[in-house]
Amino acid sequence: MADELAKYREALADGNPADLLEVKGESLWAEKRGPKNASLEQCDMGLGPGKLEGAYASLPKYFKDTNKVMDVESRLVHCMMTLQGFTQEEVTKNWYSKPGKESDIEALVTFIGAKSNGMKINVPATHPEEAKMAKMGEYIFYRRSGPQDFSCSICHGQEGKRIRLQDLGNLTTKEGAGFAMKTWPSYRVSQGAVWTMQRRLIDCMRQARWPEPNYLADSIIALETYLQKNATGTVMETPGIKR
Amino acid sequence: MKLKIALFCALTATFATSALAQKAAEAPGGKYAKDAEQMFRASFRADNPKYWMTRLEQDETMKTCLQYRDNPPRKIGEKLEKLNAATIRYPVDGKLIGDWKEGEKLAAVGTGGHIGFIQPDPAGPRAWR
Repeated sequence: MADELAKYREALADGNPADLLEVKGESLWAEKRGPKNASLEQCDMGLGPGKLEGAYASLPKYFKDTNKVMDVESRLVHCMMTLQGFTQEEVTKNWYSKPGKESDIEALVTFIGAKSNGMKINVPATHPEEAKMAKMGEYIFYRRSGPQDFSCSICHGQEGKRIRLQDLGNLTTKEGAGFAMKTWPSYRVSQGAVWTMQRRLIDCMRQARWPEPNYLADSIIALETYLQKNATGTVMETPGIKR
Repeated sequence: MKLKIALFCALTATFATSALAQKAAEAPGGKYAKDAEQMFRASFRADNPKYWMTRLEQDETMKTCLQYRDNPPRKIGEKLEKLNAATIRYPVDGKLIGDWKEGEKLAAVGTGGHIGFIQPDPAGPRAWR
């Protein structure tokens, strides 16, 4: 059955609808928008203003100007606020798309992600603030609570587990975390939309039967830091496509 | 008999090595565990109803399992098993099998007990992700 799923994935990969979103993100990036009528081309995603090649693969990371560890989405929102003059509310109102309602963030993250395609995930978390974030992410990964007694590790802390026919990666290993992290953002066929990593992890918490975290919450960025650190060295294949 | 002894030895060896491994691994979060707990709790939307937020509470078993990465030393594990077995209550009317049709409905969807503001999946066999 796993082979059949692999074949299904292969068939899906031929013509990924996320490619359209990537093109949209590219034009959004260069378009002058917002109260300041500015593009995002001077946005520093961690490698310097406008330098996007490999940026996604090396996030989350510590940023001096905000004194925070930021992921691709929180940094993008920061740029849209500082460079273009949008309010946080305006930027994050449609942080994920709904039928008939597109999300600029999804498009921009798909575009930024694609600029890391073929590059190695590189989040060694050597800065003390990054190391702290990775450790806090590890804590959250193992933290159990809720009516089903879930934690991330219940499903993703061992080898050879699955939900129905879906194999579950062991995210505590480089191989497992790498397999999971390299394909995001990803087009979800069952959802008809591209999902960002924030969306993915917030949905994991929904599946754990927990309350809903804030978009861009530190706990989500901490989990991302932990997972990207585990996945470091894995070559990105993005945008991905999944069932 | 020989097989039994061999099995016994193999099992003891497994327990011994896993006990050692547990000692070596620090609790998740290390010195930041307290900070992490605080950050985690502060990360949820303010408009989550109070009863949703109670789902973040941890009992002693959950806390201990976190400490040992779901793999506590056998002695502690046995204690937890006893503690939790003692909380099991059988139905007062003595009927051990309920309405299987209702059970089937629950089994057919993967979304029972989901909360949150994002629309949950519609019920049905493809409601899994």
